Amino acid sequence: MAATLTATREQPVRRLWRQATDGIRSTLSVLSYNKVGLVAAWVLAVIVIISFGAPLVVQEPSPDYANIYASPSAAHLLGTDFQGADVFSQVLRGGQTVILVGLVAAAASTFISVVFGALAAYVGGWVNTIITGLADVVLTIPSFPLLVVLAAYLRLNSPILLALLIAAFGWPTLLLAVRGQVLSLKERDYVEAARSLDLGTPHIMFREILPNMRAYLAMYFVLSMTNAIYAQVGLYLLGFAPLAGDNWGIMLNLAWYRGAIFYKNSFWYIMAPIVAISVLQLTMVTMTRSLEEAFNPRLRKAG
Amino acid sequence: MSALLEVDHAGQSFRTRRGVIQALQDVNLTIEAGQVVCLVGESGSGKTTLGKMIAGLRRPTAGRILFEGKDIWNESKEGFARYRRAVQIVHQDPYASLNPVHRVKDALAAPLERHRVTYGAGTLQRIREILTLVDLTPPEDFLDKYPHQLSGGQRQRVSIARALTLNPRLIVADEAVSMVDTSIRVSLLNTLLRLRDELDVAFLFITHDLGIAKYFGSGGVTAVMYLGRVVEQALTFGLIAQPLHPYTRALLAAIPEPDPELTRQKEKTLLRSMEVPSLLHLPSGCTFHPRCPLFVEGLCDLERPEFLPVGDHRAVACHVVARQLASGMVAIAKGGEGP
Amino acid sequence: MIIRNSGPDIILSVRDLSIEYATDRGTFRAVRGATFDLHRGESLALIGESGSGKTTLGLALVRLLPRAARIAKGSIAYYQGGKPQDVLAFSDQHLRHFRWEECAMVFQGAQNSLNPVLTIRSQFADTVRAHHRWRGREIERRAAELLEMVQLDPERVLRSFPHELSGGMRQRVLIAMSLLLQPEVLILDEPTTALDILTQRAIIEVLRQLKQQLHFATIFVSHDLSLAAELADRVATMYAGRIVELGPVDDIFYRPAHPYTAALLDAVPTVLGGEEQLISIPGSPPDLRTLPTGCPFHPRCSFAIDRCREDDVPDEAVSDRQQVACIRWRDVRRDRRQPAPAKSLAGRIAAQ
Repeated sequence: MAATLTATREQPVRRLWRQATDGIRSTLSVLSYNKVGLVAAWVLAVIVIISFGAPLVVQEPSPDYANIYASPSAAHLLGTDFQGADVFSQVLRGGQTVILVGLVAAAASTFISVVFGALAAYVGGWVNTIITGLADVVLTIPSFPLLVVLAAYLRLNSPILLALLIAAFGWPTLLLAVRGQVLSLKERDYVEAARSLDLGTPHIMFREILPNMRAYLAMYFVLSMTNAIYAQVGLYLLGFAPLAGDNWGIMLNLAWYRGAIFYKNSFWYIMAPIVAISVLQLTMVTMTRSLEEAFNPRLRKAG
Repeated sequence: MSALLEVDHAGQSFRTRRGVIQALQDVNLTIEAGQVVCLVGESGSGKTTLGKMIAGLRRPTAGRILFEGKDIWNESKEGFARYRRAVQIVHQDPYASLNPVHRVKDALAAPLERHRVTYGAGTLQRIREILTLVDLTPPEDFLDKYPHQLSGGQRQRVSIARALTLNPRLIVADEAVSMVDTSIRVSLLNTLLRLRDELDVAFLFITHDLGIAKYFGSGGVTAVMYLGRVVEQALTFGLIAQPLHPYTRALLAAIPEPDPELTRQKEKTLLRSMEVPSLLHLPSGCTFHPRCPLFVEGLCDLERPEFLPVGDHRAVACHVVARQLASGMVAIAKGGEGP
Repeated sequence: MIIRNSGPDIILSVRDLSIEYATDRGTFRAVRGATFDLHRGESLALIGESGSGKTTLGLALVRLLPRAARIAKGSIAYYQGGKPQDVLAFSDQHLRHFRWEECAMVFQGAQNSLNPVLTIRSQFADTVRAHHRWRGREIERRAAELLEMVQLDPERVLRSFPHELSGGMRQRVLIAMSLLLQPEVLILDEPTTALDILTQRAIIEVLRQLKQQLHFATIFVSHDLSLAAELADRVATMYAGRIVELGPVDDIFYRPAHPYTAALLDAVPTVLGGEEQLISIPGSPPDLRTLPTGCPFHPRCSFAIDRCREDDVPDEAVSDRQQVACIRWRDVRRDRRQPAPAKSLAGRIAAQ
């Protein structure tokens, strides 16, 4: 049969592609298990598309000082800001940086957690003690205040740096969770069989244990993102993050400091970013909720 | 000619919060090439621990494991790796023995390619051969399946196939058929027996079910374990025809038989106590003495009985039985060689 | 129902019971057309493997089916004072009285269902308090009596917590608790699975003794044929939700009429029964969602003919005590074992 005569040693790229597509396919089928989760996933997709697509088509709105804090109209669906610039376009364009920073922060913190958490669990001994100790210390530090202080001292002139700074505080929880998972998976029969077959530690880590944590990692990744977005917005609001650009965090900052709360008509200016951020967070949290429910083995359908 | 594998005064103890658990104590066992050795015991007997120790997955805290005459834990890295590959394990739970994210062909290709046994198309061919060996035919039907798409019996066969990839000399089957439906069990056992004949691979068959041990180990040796020690060992046929150790006799008498007449006639042994001692507080002297109907005060509770060889492939650890044999009260019946 | 073991002796009567499960992939029948009678003081074993429907049937008798299950048709009648009562129509209050006082059930893995934070004494008391107004001393007395009957020391056990007792002891405690209110029927689901051989033997002896002393009827649900040989008066074998054979224990073991029963007997080893050839049953256990037409066993049956694939199989009477769901039962039936050789081997061991 031609189908099965394909090379058994899959090229790593092909294998990763297959695992990725299998993963996406199974994630979609898993999400559709829970209707609410599916809706959330779709909404999230729409938000992401708009946030990354809008800056390409929608121009940065220009100030119009004659028209500051105008109420919503046909030309300005959500009114204008303190400079008379269109709020709606700002909302459309404002998601990109926020989401990007969230993504980078989550990716960085997940990477650190997985690498060192798995290492601590599998190697054990003093490596484990040091890594876990470090995680415990960072965990007990009140992260947001420290984040604020650090942001004030380090000149953060790019969103990436901001992302990395946030990641520096986000990793302990996931690391300890990864470590716990690996500790338990390490004892599984199929891992023991892999040891018996002398398949080697890298194989056991990357081909036996970690692939079984995909669901777990996916959930934590999304939750990391939500935390990173909160941290980010907080920093923007307090003015410790770079104020160049027009993302939602900056909108909030400007709205606050330019007195938008004092104008009746500027209600939309201050609410728009808040609603946008909240909807983004809500979709992600709902998705993880339904992912968690669906990945619960008891609900898993027996093939 | 040295045996394939020898367990030499091996012991295994674990340190826990509540104290030290002696899972195994002074165990001696020999497995010849191509031989079937059944290890029978209840929970807490240490049979699984011994199995894992023999598979090289646990290091003994006392004693040695000798593979082809050499102490494996004193070997070079290559020597130890070679040993590990020569001894494979098949687990009990079909739902936990296979990695859920690997297809059958992935699980079988991994050891083949990693150890350069085959390459590319050769790997696929070898996988097909092995699947046929374990009666998963036609192999094409199984190559791309994930474990959750297979039945319990089929999963166990894939487990066995995986164990065969590196041409092992010894397979440790840890309750490998216990969690499979009765109707499938025999077929699985027959597959294993056929593999023994065709591939000349030895088996350490761990089970709590003497009926299965009798069927599988009929040409081989059975060792009975109790609380971390081997209490009796004999050719399977002889063990069942004439059990010497009181624990073995209690076990045989206790097993319910699928035969109403037989079961009605069976004499039930009365044990002195139904309580199983905890591994944290093992009884002094002979660990079986609190329950043993042959208990002799002053002897059994003070002195640990030696594992005494009493005949061809036979050994017993019991003071009273040793005395009976020595005085001629009891003699080992001839004809315990098996079918 | 073919066999008319009628009379004032019947305590439970199940007729054409069918139970469906609703899943997100459609409904399937876990039990189909189950029909049998249970007589006073009798032990009936329901033997089957995974997917046979035996546990579902057991749960249905006390109406403890999970929410996804539904009794599609059939009836369960409980005879009290000679008069049948429709169990399926019981009110909640009547059901509470029925469960435990008339018909008690010990679940699978029940050793782990004792409340870990209460002593055994409290748990006995709780059981009683929900159903009767006995006073403390009375409860203590009855509990102690039952605990002795299951070979436990009441002094020690009553004041213990569950984790202080072994699995076998907990199982016996549960059996004693289920008998506290003197039910007429006791249903046990896999009472000896997950227990060591010696503990199993103790439980079997305990159950045997209890039956002799208290005269209640028992239904054992198990996959273990040997348990049936030990304890049952009558045996029913189940396959794919159907009772495929029902009869007295000796008839079932020595003169089985259904290919599945015969095949099962051929697949189970005896220890003392001498050398034997074990034969496995080809194929795999049935998938209740995709059952074949006609007899569900035909894909694995060595006696299958064309008719087996087409028609539904009715119950046929083999004798006035044995019934079978197979059209070729006459070919299947043969005498299986001669007691003589076995006696000598067992006798030899007994003599030592």
